[in-house]
Amino acid sequence: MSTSTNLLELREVTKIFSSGFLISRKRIIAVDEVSFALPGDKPIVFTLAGESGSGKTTIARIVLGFLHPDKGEVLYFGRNIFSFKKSELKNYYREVQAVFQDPYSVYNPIYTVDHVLYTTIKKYNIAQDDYEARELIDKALTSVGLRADEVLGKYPYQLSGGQRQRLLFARCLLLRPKLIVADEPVSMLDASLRAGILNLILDLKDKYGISFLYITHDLSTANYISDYLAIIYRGSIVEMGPIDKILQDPLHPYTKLLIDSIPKPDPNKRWRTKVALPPREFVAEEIIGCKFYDRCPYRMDICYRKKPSIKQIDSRIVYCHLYK
Amino acid sequence: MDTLLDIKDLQVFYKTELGPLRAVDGVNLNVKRKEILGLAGESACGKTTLVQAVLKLIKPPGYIVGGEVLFNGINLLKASENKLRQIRWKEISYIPQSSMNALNPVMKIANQIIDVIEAHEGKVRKREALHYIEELLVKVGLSREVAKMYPHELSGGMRQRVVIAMALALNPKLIIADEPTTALDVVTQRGIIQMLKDINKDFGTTLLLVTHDMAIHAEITDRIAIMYAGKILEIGLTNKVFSEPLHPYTRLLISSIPRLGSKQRLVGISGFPPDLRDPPPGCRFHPRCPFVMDICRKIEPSLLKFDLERFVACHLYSR
Repeated sequence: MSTSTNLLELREVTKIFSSGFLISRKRIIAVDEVSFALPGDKPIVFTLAGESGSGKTTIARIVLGFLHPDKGEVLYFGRNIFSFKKSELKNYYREVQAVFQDPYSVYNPIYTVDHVLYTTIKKYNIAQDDYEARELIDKALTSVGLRADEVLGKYPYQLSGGQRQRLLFARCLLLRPKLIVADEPVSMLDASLRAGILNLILDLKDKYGISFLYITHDLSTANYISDYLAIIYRGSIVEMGPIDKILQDPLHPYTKLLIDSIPKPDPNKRWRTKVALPPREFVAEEIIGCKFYDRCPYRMDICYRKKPSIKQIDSRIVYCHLYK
Repeated sequence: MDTLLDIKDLQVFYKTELGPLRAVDGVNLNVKRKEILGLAGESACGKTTLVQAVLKLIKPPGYIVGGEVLFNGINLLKASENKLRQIRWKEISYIPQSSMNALNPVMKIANQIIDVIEAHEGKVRKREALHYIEELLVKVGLSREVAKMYPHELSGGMRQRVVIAMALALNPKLIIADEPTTALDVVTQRGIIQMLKDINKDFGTTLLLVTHDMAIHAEITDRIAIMYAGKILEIGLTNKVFSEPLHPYTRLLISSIPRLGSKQRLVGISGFPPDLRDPPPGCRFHPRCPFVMDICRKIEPSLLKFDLERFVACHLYSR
């Protein structure tokens, strides 16, 4: 993968948050030298998975330009988005769209849902006149499996969660994006509606060539839609590569624990082992070595002293001292 | 196994401007002593309303229309407020959804648990109580020091364990847990779920577990009840329900769960749950059911015995 052809590339992106003041001031490294890339030659779904507080949403916000990293670069077709000129930035904001977890809070409750579609069209001058605008909207709605007459003219509360989420994908489609950052788009939906949204993501990738940065804590939905997977733990990527490989044969102890802890919808395959939860909060002093040290069943002396460096194993990478 | 809690023909409505919303509409359900019964169903199907009604915690605009809730033979819906207060916590403890965020932020954990104990047992000696509370915390895998901490010093998973310790404080016979792991990450979720299972096994505490997550039901429940639009559609042994779901809704619900290691195209359920202010006639699932027949549009199927442990409310199985 040559860098200039990558759709999106993060290079050692670091974000530090500070809280408290003076003596009680705390620094939290939310994102710690994270690097990954989405290729530019074919559309893929790239999943960034981790538990709450792992920094995955911070990464999404950096990619969307809401937050500046303290270190590192975010490249879009090889160019740093934080040194974009105004016109380039406008283009970036058009080609990179986002769908978030809560499909209700995005809407303004006093307007009908049409508002969110028409403002987008106006802001980006997509249509010549109202007639064309309506035509574009109809097309976008059909593409996401909605009928214009069942959603237009309605208020957000009159639609189901699934419909509201589909409508946001329709809004994205109006802009013909190259990348959609989807941050937990199905975690608030019921199982029966979830399947529809996941299928929609697959359709949009195949039919319109849109790539996705899918951010989730849920590896079962990731498995269903993704091509690549990066597992993030306390701000650092611990393992990354083709998703099938990782799920079948996880290398990093954290990935193993994560995969083994997913409840399986099969009463004949219940958990055989137990996990011990920490008896008290681990106080993160300055961690020098591996961040998973305190929870790792395979920890060694070196893990405490030295940060694991990148190891390439077949088609993936892992950061762990177990691998030479 | 005999019955500990028996819910009979329970109806709970909410008053709205457009007429009553029938959130729980004629539910029959029994919880057997020492079992883990799962209550499954999608959001707004009435799960939470149902368990709140069991403890008579329904507040206006909600109201209990009719039915019985028998606990050890006593009808809780007819019991006095005084009697109910004795039963709540001591006999039945309830862990409401997101209760881990409801701990008092300016009170140490130990004092909050002492409050619960004193509300039911009267004044207790601080030192003895503290010792007892530390033991409780150890039972849920926390260190003794947690007793002297404030909620903000604990992670979400730890606070949820404090809530479970509180629920255990008075040795209840039944614990009702409503979505106890929903906002937690998978590893913590697994720890909490396994802990609930251990409590059930070690102390014989009966557990009514409410969650929308079918995979969690598959992991720990003995029996499962499937709820849809205010009705129970199917009840059975968990492994039987998963291996051979009878009701079309149960079948679709199970097939819409993504599984690791399978990329088989998922089928959702088309359409939406009905408006419970004006539910469809006949079976409430009929507008979305792929096997709908004429009779389903007219006559409501009742929950009938299919075999020894299985009940289903569907015309496909009425003979």
